Amino acid sequence: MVEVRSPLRERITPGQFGAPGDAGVVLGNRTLAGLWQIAGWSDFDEAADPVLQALGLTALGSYRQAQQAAGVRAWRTAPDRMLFETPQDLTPFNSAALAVLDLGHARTCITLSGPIARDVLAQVIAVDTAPDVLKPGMFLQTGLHSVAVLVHCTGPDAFEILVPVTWAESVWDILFENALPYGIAVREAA
Amino acid sequence: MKRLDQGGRIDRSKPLNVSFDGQSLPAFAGDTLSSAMLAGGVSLVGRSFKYHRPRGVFSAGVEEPGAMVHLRSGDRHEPNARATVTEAFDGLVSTSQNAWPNLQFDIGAANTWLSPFFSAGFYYKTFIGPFKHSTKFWMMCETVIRKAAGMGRASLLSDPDRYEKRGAYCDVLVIGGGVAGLTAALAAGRAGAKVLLVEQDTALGGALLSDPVGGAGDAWIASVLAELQAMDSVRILTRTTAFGAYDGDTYALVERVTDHLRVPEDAQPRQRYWQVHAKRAIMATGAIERPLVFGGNDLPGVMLAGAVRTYLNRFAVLMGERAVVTTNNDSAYSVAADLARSGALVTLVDMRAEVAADTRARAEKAGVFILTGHGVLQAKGGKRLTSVDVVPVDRGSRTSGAVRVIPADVLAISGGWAPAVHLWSQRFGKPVYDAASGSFIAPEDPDKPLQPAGICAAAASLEDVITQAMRRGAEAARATGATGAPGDSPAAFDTGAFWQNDLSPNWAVFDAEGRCKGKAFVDFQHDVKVSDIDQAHLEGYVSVEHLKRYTTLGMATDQGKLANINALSRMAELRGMAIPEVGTTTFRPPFTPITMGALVGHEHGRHFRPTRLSPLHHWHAENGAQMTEAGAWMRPWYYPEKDEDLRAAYIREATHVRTHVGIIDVSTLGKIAVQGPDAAEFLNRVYVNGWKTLAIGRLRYGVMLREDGFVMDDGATARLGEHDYVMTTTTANAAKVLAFAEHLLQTAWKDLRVHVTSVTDQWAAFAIAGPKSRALLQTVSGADLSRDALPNNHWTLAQISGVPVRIHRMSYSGELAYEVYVPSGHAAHVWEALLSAGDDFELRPYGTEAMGALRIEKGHVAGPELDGRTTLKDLGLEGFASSKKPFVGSVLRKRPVLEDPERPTLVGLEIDGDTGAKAGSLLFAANEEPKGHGDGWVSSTTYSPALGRNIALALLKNGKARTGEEIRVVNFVGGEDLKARVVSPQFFDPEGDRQNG
Repeated sequence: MVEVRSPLRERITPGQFGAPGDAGVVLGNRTLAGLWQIAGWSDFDEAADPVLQALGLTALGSYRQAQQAAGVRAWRTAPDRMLFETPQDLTPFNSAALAVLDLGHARTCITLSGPIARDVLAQVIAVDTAPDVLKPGMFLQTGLHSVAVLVHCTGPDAFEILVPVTWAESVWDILFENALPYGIAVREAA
Repeated sequence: MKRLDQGGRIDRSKPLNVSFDGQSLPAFAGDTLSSAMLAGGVSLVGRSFKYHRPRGVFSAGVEEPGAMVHLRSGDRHEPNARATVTEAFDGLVSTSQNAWPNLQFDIGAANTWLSPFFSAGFYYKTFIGPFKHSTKFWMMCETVIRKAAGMGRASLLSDPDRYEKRGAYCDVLVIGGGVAGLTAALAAGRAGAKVLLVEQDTALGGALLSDPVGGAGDAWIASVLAELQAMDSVRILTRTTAFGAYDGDTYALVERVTDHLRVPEDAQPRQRYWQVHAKRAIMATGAIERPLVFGGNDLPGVMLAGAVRTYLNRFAVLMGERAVVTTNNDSAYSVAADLARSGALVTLVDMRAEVAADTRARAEKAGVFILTGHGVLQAKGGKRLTSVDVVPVDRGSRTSGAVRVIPADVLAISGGWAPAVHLWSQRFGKPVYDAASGSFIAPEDPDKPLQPAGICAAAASLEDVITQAMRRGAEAARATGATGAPGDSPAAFDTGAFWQNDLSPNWAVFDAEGRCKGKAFVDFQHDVKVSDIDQAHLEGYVSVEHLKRYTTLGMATDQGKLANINALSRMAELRGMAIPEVGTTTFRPPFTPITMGALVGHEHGRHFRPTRLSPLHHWHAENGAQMTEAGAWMRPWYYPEKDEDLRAAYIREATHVRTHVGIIDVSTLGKIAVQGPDAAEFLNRVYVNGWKTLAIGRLRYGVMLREDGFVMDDGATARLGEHDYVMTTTTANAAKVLAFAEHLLQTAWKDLRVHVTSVTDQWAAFAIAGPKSRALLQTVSGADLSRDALPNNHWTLAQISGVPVRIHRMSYSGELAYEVYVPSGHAAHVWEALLSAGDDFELRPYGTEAMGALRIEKGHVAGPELDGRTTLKDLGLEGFASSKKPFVGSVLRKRPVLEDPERPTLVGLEIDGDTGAKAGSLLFAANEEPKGHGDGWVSSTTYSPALGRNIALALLKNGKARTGEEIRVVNFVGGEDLKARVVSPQFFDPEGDRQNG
């Protein structure tokens, strides 16, 4: 099987950068296991149900709280749209009632973690990133350096940012630039 | 002036190397540049704006009008820095500005003798001048005025420092870290609110930092600060100025992160811009002392009284052995007393006839000699103060007796205080006049999300400050939902009197004729005198806004912090009104000057805007492509071989495509998935042509219009499945088309079950064009791509080097051509596989310049033709429009003006000679004088390798009917006048044999 090439392959140099000492921020890149969008209309609940069942999910969920099941992450991105990270092929669910779209190559995932991760995030998105506001499991869709991204809080000081691949280098660069004063550890792409 | 042996809040164990105009200053950690200057005996710091008068340190804060200097050198050079708020650091180099050849002997000082010519409004009067109906006089003056204008000189070098921007959210923002701010933060923090406390100074304490060290104030600060620092919900930022208050309860702050260092270390930013969203805010910004107005009140040695006390107690600098303190209020008495206790001979000149006995007694006990009912008529000296003319004054501030000359090294002045209500004013408009305190304050309104507290609300005692701040803090916290108790107020302690008690409205000393003696300044930074205000009044300026602009009062970098009230007082006197009737101006951000860098943050240079890269970007760069910007994208422009220039390269590349096969990265094309059972109906409505019959496996070229009937975009759309289509758009219009489609689906066409999603990132795309393209692709994919198996405007699935791809048969170049759509994560793999296999077919990459040449040869329209001014008919595309269905723009495209046969329509031009036409050149009939807008314009131009001549696409009035006509192609900018023949825009293979073969 041909390897999916990260749009950040040429950009990522593992190592320590910026302020000396313990890195306040860890930056990395993860290739998605597969990304699918389903979209429906007024009967979206009903139309999406077979997909949810197949993925081990029980409900469409909220617009702020991501859902998780075995090997699956789900984000309700609009009243009639959901996004799934899953290796499963969802094409068979495509129908007149449900539009299924493969976006597996359209996004890459930039990982941002570390004790200063929330501060760095506060420098690049106009959203409250405080721990009592953006809690683990929550996600938001916002602009980062004028690029539409999905930010998922995956831990107390850990975030994953789904970025359109053609904008990925710019988003990476602006995160890197903002994180330099805190010291950055750049991880090998996963 | 001297540094005292003890006292102050400086760290004498840490001497610093600081200089001004090459003179080493005796600085310590904790000093400002101005305190180091004064400790080093520097009294002359700068020259004034207009008259180049000697100016020294006047204040100890952000209101400083005189001690403006250049800081640092090289690319970190900074003009107009206020020495009073510049922290001293080791290696600080400062120099004087606005003086030539030097500060001591400044040629510009001659202006002071020419001052009658430079009075209020002189600048505007040069617009009129002595020559009727002519601007000659202004043109003559302009050069001189522009050269003389300004203070410091900015560097032309790039700023090497980093600046950051960040957002922050809190329940209660407390602006100001003095007694009021600390108390309000304490109350809000105790109640459980999330508090952000910001202070522009390096330390918290506000006015208490100007008290003698070791007093009750220090213990008070330590106690409150310890409690605040122990609260997790309270964040404290020092060296941070709140400079703007905006709608939506948003505040702008600038944090000077490393301005106190020689250079920022360890990748730290120089400054950080904070955009704070606060549910409630408390403005504990204190007050700024008002000067008194008299002749020579700008001489070095004349200072605000509070500043004299700050330099004495905070920086251990005694401003002079012989001090005169002049005032119209009680607050200066503690200044006089502190000076006397430090060994100075102090005369206190009070314009009031009566003073409270205890206030007087305290000062006299310290050794101060007090003259009541007196004022300062004039300060005298050359480059610094030497004596003060003191006169008895009546209640109207007029002299009423003989002059008494008092030798003096320093003259401390206090005309009361002006609460710093700037942020409130920025947000809510004009403040109101409070007669009791003789100042403008924010009107009481509990519903406002920004509330003043303490001195900035004209609180008249420390107890009032604390009580009010506790209440404000508790109210703010409660308004945000905090439910805790604010607890007991911190205890007040004894301080000197505040200014409100028995404040006299007198602000200047006038002679018997009602004039100030000598040059009496109201606005020190812009050299606006009392006489300038008088003149403006005589010339009919009755509005405070007009007065401000005519005299430029309050328009310098200090934005009138010292000048406003005194100017209003003069205006009120001249107009026979009370100050509130005269009105005041509204403050605008920023409260203090901020750097452009802080506003810009990282968004400059390559981060000015995000850049969009094709999945093959690095392949192009590594293989020598010259890249070009196409909107946000970077695209390969051409691939030079050896020393080829653009022209040689694109001609070679385009020729190669016509003779062999070329490949170009077209991943930048907009790609939109159109899904749903009503997708065909949707396409039918957005495109001018019909889509109901498009079969799966087919694709079709389409054109869409704006609602006003002009062409918006074009592209091909393929039907992938029963309910699935993929639309392509031009690179430039991808976002616009997607937004247009979303808008229609969410407003006008909510009945349609259709979703549109950008898949531009999902799919890379390569165009493979040329006579050998079929053979190449068949070899690489193994698919049958014969004419019968895959006719034009069809697509098929295939595999290339193990990657599933979609091959569209379509041509943009007029050649046999295909577009290969590849999942973007596999783009580089497939591209490299094609190039590897392409050796046998002489496959070469080509760039956008060659692509442009090929499409012009074929007569395809692109961005230059789809410029928002052209219709279907103009472009020869009206045949695509269906007459059987409505579509966006179908009604308005029929407007008479768009049906006018005289409209410019698309034509081809064959250019005579070796010089190509420039895009934008205007077209004229061969026998017509080239004047005006002509008959049309050149939209796209190239040298055609296939035709061996220069050609162009153009829009020409009544173009179709003029085929064969000789015309002139005139480029007014470049001075070119070419001849051309009007031809069909399809220059190359008009029958389409090659692309359909």
